[in-house]
Amino acid sequence: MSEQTNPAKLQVEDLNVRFATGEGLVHAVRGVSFDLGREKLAIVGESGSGKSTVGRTLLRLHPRSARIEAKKLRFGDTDLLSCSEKTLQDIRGRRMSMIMQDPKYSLNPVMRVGDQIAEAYLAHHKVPRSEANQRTLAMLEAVRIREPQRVFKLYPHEVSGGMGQRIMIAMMLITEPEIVIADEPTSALDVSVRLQVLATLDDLVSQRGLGLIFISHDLNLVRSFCDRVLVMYAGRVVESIAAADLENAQHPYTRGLLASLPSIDERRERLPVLQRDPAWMAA
Amino acid sequence: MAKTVTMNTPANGPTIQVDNLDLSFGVGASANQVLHDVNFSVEEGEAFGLVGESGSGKTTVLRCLAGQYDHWQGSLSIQGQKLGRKLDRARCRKVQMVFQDPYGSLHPRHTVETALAEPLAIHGIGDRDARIDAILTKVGLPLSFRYRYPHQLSGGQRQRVAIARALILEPRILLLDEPTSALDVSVQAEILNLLADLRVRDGLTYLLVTHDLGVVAHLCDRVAVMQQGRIVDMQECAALSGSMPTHPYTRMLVEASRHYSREMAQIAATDAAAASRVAA
Amino acid sequence: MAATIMTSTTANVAATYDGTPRSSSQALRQNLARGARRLTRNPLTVAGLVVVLGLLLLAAFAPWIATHDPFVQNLSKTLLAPGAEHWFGTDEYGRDIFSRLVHGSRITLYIISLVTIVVGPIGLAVGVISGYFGGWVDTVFMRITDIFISFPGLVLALAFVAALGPGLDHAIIAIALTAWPPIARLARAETLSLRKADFVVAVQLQGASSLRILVRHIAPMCLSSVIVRLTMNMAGVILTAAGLGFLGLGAQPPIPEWGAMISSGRRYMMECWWLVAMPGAAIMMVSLAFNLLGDGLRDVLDPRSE
Repeated sequence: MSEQTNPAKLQVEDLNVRFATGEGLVHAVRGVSFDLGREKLAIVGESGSGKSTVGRTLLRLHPRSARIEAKKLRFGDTDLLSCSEKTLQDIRGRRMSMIMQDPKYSLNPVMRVGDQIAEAYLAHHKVPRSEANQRTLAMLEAVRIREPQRVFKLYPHEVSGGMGQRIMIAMMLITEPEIVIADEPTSALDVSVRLQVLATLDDLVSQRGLGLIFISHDLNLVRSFCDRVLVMYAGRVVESIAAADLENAQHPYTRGLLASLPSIDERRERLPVLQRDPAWMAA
Repeated sequence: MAKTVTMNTPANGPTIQVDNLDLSFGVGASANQVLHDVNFSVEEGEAFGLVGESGSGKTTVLRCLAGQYDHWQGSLSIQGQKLGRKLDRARCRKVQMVFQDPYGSLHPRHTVETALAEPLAIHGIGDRDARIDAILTKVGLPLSFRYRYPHQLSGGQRQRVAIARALILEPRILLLDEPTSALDVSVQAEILNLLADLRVRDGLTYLLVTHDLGVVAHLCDRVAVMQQGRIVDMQECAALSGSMPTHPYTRMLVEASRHYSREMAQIAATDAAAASRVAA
Repeated sequence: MAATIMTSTTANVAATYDGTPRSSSQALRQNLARGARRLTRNPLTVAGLVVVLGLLLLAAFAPWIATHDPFVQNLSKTLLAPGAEHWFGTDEYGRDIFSRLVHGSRITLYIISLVTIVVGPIGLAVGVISGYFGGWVDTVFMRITDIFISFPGLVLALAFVAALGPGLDHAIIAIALTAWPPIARLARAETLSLRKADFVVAVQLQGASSLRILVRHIAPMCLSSVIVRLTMNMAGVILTAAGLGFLGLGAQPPIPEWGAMISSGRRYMMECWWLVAMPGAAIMMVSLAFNLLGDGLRDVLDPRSE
């Protein structure tokens, strides 16, 4: 429903990704289509379902061995499939950015975090250093870091996991992108920290009118955090459903996944085990 | 099912007894105390959960019981016998452990058969072929998997092999260190079912460490909540769902495992601020 | 059940392993076959392998391949340039250089294999023990290693040979003494990363003795990098042996050791290039081949690449 109320920022139609390996082509993403507006769209699936590949493909951050085909892969007015590497450089980080799972590997260990954020801004905007620093401090405040002045001067090993992830979010959002792709942004974090990071992300998305693609394996989280959910299985989107309606999911895979989650409120002798139907691969 | 097992407590005391357990790393001014006065006991046939966030000391407790640390203070006993500092072979027959990461807990160069035969060889137990066949059947793996290497198995299959390896010495106690957190949810359900079945069938006692309250609620009878090296709350698992837990930290964990909400994020933030003030 | 999840990786594995092995020997065979396939994928490795195999064949069939007796002097045919009669020419005593090179391959192999047999187990044992136990064991072993490693290899070997007296066997002992410390360091580094691994903790919990853990669980994991290192080392061993031979401290004349051949040929080097160039090329080819093979083995044996 949300895609009717606001224009699609991103249109994907019939996206196929194949990887060339020693044993031939592996078809990782099969005919995925979706539109993204100003909303929080979740892509959920188990490991190997192709959910992360979709995220990376949108930024064309895929390995060289990948073959990408799509009927349509449009970001605003730009065709992501045919545009030049230079146009892509312009889009990446500035108009579309990505938050990875573990900040430990995404932050440069020998650079102060404040400088890294400012650098991200300077890479896309020709402004004096002092202005970039000002914006960095404002951004750190926006991601609810209590002492931005102090944190600005810290090195990545001096910050905790939750703060590191918030710094990553600050770095990715300082260029004011239109779309943020978050690949399991909170799965390395503890519950209480996860909540705070999600709240930060939530605020920024609603205040700035971003489109968020939230890639996750956690159905419970996605159900309450996102607006819409794409369920992927073996490279296909088997179901696209509003998050609030997830209870009434139609596809047996989605229902199976939901049923197999252990829950506090409903104690069962046995958890139903997902029976995989080969027909899901073909459908 | 769980309830009936808990009730028939034998007269000779709890299976696992942990009293005044303290542990610090480092010495002098840089000493860092990671466990503060941890006390709990687990009855025979009970499944006991330890939950908490990273750094809460839950895994450390498990590793003390497994004999990985030898400088703890306090007293640990298993089946009424005080544990020494060093691992002895008698303890190995009673207590075994299943690890979080099924990719790291199996030797990459050993076939399933070698991995399962190793404990038997160490303890000089004969009749290995039959025992290996029996244990593979028990954990639901086809016998044809005997000669596979870990890299030829999926994550769930590896965890089954790890469970089989822990059970082949027929221990009474299984220490479970986040046994499903590296697995997909559908595979997690299979492993949790297997663990539940094995407990009922063999009358095993479980000590489960996890950060996932759903898993604890499913598998365990009682749960202790740990925060910064202390047990802050202890509950019957059944009580987690019905009436709201009284301890604010437990309540936050329970709520967070149900869904995300802004209010909870707020509570978590103030809680974290309070915790950091206490720590400072 | 879980087996039916076809992620891209498991799909690959399934494609490679069409049959589930039915015995441990079959499992081992499949493993070896896969290793061989990966080894032969890189043309440079294959080139190295071919040269090394060639060296083995040359040594095995030396008497039949050599065109002349390597020791027979013919003073009427000294210092002949390469030609139809003497493919690689003759030396100052009229001995056929090709035949001497062919017979020299046996000496080269003898040196390499003896050094490897001595160095591999010593280095592995020292490294694994000091890495696993740590503490004072580690300190003692590593300080000894440091002492050996702080001398340049050839200088240390020279000192040993000077003390023991020149000769091929003494040269081998000297080389072995200088070659084990890097292996020990390597094995120690690997062991340090393994000793806290879950699979090691798991066997500790099963009550395995330290010896059993080291021999059955840790050493096999270090073995692959040690083998790679040893293969790479072979090039160095050949060069050191040739160096000792060149200095007159290794194999003694008239033994056709390649380094000694260069040494005796250098007096005529300006006029008769083949005296030095032929054994020099042989040394270069063989050490290059071992290096290439070592690189290829690393790709195959490194468990991280699986």
